[in-house]
Amino acid sequence: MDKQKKILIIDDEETIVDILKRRFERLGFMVYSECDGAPAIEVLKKEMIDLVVCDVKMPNGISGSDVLKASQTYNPGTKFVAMSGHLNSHESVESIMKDGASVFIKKPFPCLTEVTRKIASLVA
Amino acid sequence: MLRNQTYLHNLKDLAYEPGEAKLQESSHENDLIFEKTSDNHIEQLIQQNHCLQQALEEADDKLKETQAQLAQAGKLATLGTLGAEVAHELNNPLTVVSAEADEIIEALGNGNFDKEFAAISAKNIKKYAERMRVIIDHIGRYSRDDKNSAWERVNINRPINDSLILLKSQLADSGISIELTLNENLPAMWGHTNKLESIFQNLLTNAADAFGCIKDGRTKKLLISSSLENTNRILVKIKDNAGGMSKEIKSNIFESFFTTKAAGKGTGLGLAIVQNLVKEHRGIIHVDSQEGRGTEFTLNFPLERRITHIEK
Ligand SMILES: Nc1ncnc2c1ncn2[C@@H]1O[C@H](COP(=O)(O)OP(=O)(O)OP(=O)(O)O)[C@@H](O)[C@H]1O
Ligand SMILES: [Mg+2]
Repeated sequence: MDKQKKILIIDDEETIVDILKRRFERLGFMVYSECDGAPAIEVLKKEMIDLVVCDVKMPNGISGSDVLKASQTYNPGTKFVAMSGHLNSHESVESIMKDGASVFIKKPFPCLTEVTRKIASLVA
Repeated sequence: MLRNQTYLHNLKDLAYEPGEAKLQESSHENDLIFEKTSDNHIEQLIQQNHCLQQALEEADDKLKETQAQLAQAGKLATLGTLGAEVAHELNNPLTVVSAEADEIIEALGNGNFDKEFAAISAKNIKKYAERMRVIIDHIGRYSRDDKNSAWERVNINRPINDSLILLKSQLADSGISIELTLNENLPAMWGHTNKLESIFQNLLTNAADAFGCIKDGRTKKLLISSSLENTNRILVKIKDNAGGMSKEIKSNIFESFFTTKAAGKGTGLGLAIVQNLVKEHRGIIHVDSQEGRGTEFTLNFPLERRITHIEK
């Protein structure tokens, strides 16, 4: 990788953030991580992020869609990966894809290695 | 804006068949990231990888089986929309369990097996499997098998007394005195004994837990009463003088998975299930609570079922 890419990972389940962080660090990324939407938006204001991986449904009022909007405002061109484990998330998936997310990933991941590699390839 | 939109979960290349595609993959592509190991060693590791994968698949099958059993016993069904929420709540820990297992499998496959990292993954697997167990355990406890009892004429005092048999010594050990005021002449109502018992067990357990937080030496009193209202409704009150709750908490208590208790102690399913069970009886549940002073739950049931109940 010529220049170290920056990735921002957001999920309200801390251990899921940890697992993804470990993986992307090994893949050579500079990793920023948050468990809540609000601080994630602060990161997007300050840093030039290349790739955002974000849970669609989070508590505390700020959803994946809000993070996507912030990413488009402060980091235009950033690839956005939406994740969700909700059964009834069909609508929210449709709408976040329409709003401009690049990829949707369902949880649990079919295979962590393949999923993280796919995500990484978005900015290869 | 033109973007390359891909639904990963729809991509054929991600829908891998466990056992085949993945094994090949871990021997080629990983050298992008990790050092190569000798062919012989790889052979051996692939073998171990295979065992682990089998173990994971077996665990996955077990979970699916448990879910199927719960659904089949009509347990999740009686919980109505709770089923979807329970499934979602199981999904996060399942994501962790599955992803951490992938971590170990991959580390074994490329010979970069770091004991410390593997220990972190294994601990997380254990911890989140435990979380799933607690959730499943609670569902089982609060929605007992319906097969042994059906809808019938029930004297409400019976399920109240039965649930007390189970909890009495626990309540007494915690220094809680119970004041029972049951109307002996109540007409029988249309109800489901097991479901009614689940309601009381859950409300009493909550009261006991609330008393558990009281440290100021007050006399712990739990009042339980049954009575007749307007000749056609049954009233049950369960009142404690424990810590009560704030308005904020009170407005959330019927939400599934809302809990103020430590992980492993409460799942937050209790009152959501209670509310569903009360609804099945066409009843009403009401809560009054004062922070620091105590809480009173009032249940109000009709004697008659207005619509013929369809027996399953
Ligand atoms: N008698 C009570 N006094 C004070 N707070 C209560 C009382 N009953 C319920 N609560 C509050 O309501 C919350 C939700 O109760 P609920 O029974 O749904 O879940 P839980 O008891 O936390 O977990 P579970 O019932 O699944 O073990 C509790 O965590 C507690 O904060
Ligand atoms: Mg409870």
